[in-house]
Amino acid sequence: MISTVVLATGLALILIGLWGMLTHRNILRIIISFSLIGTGTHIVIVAIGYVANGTAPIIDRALSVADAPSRAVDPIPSALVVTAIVIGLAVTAVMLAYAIRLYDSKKTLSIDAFTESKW
Amino acid sequence: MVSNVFHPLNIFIVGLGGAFLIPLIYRFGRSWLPGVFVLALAAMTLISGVSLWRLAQGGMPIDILTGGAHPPYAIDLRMDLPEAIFAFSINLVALLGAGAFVRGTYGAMLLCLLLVMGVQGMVMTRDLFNLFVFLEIVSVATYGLLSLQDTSAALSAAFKYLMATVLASTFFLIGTVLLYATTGILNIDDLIVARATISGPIGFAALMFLLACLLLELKPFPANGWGLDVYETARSDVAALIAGGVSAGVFFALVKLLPLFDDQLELIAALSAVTFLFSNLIGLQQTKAQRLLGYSSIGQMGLMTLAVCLLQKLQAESSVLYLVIAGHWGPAIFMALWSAGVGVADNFLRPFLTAQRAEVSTLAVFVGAIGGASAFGILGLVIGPVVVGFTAALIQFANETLSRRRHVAPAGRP
Repeated sequence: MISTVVLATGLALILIGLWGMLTHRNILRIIISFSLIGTGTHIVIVAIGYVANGTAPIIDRALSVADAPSRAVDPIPSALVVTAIVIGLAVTAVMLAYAIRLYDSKKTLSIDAFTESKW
Repeated sequence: MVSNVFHPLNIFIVGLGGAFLIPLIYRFGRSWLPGVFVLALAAMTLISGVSLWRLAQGGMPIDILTGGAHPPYAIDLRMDLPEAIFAFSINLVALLGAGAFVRGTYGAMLLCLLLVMGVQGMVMTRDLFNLFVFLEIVSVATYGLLSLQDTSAALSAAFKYLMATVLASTFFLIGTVLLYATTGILNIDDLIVARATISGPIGFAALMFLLACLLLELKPFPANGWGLDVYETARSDVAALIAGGVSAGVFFALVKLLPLFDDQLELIAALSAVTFLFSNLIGLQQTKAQRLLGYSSIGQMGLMTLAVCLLQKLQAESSVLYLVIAGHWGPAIFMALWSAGVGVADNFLRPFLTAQRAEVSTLAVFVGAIGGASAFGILGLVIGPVVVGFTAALIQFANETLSRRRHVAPAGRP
């Protein structure tokens, strides 16, 4: 149940981000939309690995080897999402750096001002 | 694990280590900088060259297994013959183009090293998520390199490129995760074996997301304006590195994943054929040398993708290997020429091309299509117009050069 709600939230965030990216003309808003898509994707990844009433995948007294497949949360999506978050941070930083330099060149953040290339 | 200095894993050690050392050397001994950069590229070329030589002599493929475990517990990086050929040619081309980068800032050298290493990661990895990580390393390095040119046109082209590729990477990530949700596998070889279990709406969506990313990265017609603008406005050496290096990595990723897309081969082939045809035709209309070369590069990727799909369809795996070998040299030579010949292109080719637009009439294209179709069959529909187009352009060019009137009167049609 929790997993479904989380999954739906993630997918909704991806769609909101996609919509925002396609409709907004302000570079900062586009970057925020990208972040929303990224966050949505991360939530989807976490939701995929979630096991209802599960526990951390650490085998000790609380979790025996026999119980692990049914009770432990899948650790791989968690590992993937950490990597994806780091990459997302780097890409967002680069995008913001571009936003600053684009603003410096035209003194505006509207992509309509950048007419050299066809959008 | 690293049995000797020529182990393929050392490519990553040299690439990452070199990129880490470059800022330090910049602070403490600036004059050593070009030397270290070229040395790192030369070392990567040597390592991949030795691997290639060993594999060509019939050596066993080298598997690098992280942590000494086997998939699914480890990430598998493989150096087989196709990988070695790709890695070696990418390194060699980067080494040949190093001259363009040593004149730049230390950041350019650092990013160039990261990019070359990342492309080899894309080529060697057999893990889907690891492929995503290397794709992102390459992308971030590309974004950095693109920002070296700070005209407004170059920046907005780079931002557009950034948006398109970030969207493509997001698709790749979603596709990877959905595939994992369906099969519980991330290893590419195991996924190909378990191809039949990738079914249902989620499995189909996963494959579509992966395919969308790879095709978008190969800049299909007509959704390739973002790529062309970058090719046109970026520094020539950077544009060459994207056309020769990044495209090669993405192409190899597509070849690697192609067995997963057996049901979509016709679709990919059709898209590639359209890309090849229109990129070449529109390329003829260009007045800027770099944009023309961009069209040419995109057209060639289309041709190679078309060929690789048709060969896969015919189950001719050995020919796929041949194409990988033969096809890769196109962008490689192109990049070497582009890198070495930046001055030539700008000073020699551009005045020629701007002096006369190579205008080809629709009639010529039509005649070309009919003639091509009768000579080569269906494939002639693609070959004919391109041959006729280029021939017409050559005739027009020769005509006007011989009559020596091009500087006096506006160019007329032949």
